[in-house]
Amino acid sequence: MRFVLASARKDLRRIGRDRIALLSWLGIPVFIGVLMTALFGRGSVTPQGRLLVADEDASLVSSLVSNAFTQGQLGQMFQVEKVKQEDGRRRIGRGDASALLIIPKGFGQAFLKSEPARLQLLTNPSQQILPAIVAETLSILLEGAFYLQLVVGDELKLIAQGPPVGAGSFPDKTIADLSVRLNRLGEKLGAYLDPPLLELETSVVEEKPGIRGGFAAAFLPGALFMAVLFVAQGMVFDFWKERSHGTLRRLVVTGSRVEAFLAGKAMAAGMVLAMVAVVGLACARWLVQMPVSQPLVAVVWMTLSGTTLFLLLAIVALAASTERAASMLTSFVVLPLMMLGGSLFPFEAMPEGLARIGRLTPNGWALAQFRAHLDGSAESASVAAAFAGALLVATVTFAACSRRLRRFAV
Amino acid sequence: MIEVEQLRKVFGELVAIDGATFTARAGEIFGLLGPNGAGKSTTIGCISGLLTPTSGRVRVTGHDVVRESKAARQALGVVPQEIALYEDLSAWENLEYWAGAQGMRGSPMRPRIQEVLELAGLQDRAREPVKRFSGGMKRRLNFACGIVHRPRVLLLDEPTVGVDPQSRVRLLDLVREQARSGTCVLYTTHYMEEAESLCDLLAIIDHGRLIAQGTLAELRGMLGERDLLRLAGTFPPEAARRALDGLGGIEVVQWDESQLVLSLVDASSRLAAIFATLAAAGCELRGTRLTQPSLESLFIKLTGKELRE
Repeated sequence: MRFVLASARKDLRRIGRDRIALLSWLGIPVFIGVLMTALFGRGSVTPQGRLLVADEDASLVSSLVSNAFTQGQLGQMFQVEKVKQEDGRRRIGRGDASALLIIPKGFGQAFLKSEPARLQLLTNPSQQILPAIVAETLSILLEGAFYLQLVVGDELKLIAQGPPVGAGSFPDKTIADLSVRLNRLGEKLGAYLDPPLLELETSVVEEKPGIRGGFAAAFLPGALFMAVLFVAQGMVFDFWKERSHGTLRRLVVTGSRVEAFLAGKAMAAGMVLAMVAVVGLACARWLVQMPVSQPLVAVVWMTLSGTTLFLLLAIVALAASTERAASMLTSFVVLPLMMLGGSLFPFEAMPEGLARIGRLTPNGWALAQFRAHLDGSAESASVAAAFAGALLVATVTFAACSRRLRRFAV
Repeated sequence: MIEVEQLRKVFGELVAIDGATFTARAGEIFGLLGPNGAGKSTTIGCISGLLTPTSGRVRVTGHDVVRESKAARQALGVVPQEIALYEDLSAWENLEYWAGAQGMRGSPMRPRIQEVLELAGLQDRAREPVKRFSGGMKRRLNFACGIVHRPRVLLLDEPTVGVDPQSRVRLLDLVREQARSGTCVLYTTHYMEEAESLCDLLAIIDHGRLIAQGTLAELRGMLGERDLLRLAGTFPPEAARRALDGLGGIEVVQWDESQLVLSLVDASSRLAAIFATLAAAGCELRGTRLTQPSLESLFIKLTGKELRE
């Protein structure tokens, strides 16, 4: 046991002196956390754009058109700003907004009289989504206006003509006549438009646990396991370094066992992984405000599963015939594992079939468990089973590694 | 201390060691002398337990290196040919690690590390990373790591390769000190002068076979105080041989059309006669070199080639 500790201390000293490697390992979760926060903020994500409206008509109808963009979800998506046409054109030319809507003078009257009218929409070509949303919304509004004219076109024309010449308002007969016509129309359309009467009973069965904190929080646990894979891959190359420096051959002829040497390496890897876990979870908690309900269990899990991944990659590296082959082989293993195992894309963003496969990869499975520790959804029995499973795999891979290491040294 | 009996190691088609037998005792420096690729490092590998012998037996302090490998390895200190150190650790940290690997622990370790650093002349640089050391300093530390645990048997595989003269003298002194303290030292080298000045017993190895062994005096006796005369030029085969046979007391060690190596007593006094005889036989001489009896001349006599070839 003493040589295990001495071996781990030796490796930790060497890692500590390779500051670039250490900083890059510790920096991966910090960097990704900061990047995610900068890109997507701490909450849920809604893209925001600016819609410029040059309303030269200033009528009730034109106000209805521009106000359509301030309602509901569109209101969260767009900031509507009224501008003069020239100013609007200048700003859209500079790319200062997503779109410019020009409502010409006389648009309201033309609509009421069922006469042709023209709206002008200038879009920002450097943006894809938001200008398309504005165009689509306008198209829906115009379609609605067309059907409104078909149904109540005469009434609208009557309103557009205004009161008889010399009268301040419409005569009572006209108003009564208009009311009766609109009422009858309403009754006639009611059969088609009124929804059937339903009694809706609602009850909350269970609130679905989800990761609060938006996309960044969904991405960060995967990023931490990306760091785990980088650390594991970086550290397995040390076997090749020790071989080329002759220290591994020298060790084999000492009184110590290669198992103790390997255990020291695994212990050092575990300690580096624990550091990465602590730094990563601190970033997750304070930068992205990700919930970390069982921090200690999460750190221990990341350390254990990461050490197991280190041993699995060690088998791959030790099986290679040259250092270069080891580098290529481990990369061939690590890159697909990252892509499938939820490190590059969260499982939620993957097609269901791929996500299912990803959760079956060693790192994907470990990541799924890790997320359960973070959001507190893991039950004691499943936590114990996961730890036992990881320990079993670690023991088997350790035995395989130490068997291979003896031949590898010579 | 080291008993090697009929040791044979085969790698595929290659016979690296073929029936080597020798014994090295406590307090002795046993030299294994041979050119590169002769089988010296393979012999060290089999003794240290790094390689498993194909056949034969090796014992270290009475323990069979295959069946009682742990006990055998605990008695061993190995200084490999390559500099097997952690370059980003300090000299102290390297010694601490290798002492731990050899089972040293607790309070005796610190004073021993200090002592070994002084022996190697590195006490002032103990806390510096090894990567800042010169080649000679690294060699001395490499040696120090092999003796830090006070081994009873020390295997040194060409420890002075690429070392500056000052560090070489220091290293050889360190080897002598180890032997004086009762350690059995097995020393491989292809430097004749090192072997001559250092070793109590010597074995000459070539192509995996031990071709001679004994003390330096015994080996010199095998040569019979004969000088080696190396002649370069053009030598028609049969005519030259007949002419030399006529002179008497001359042994032809190596012969081809451009080089002739002769072994004879008191060669300097017979040079004129040899030159005249060869000239009369139609030989053309372009160069001459006379070597006094030495390990080198013995090696040439035994193998027909120079050690550095």
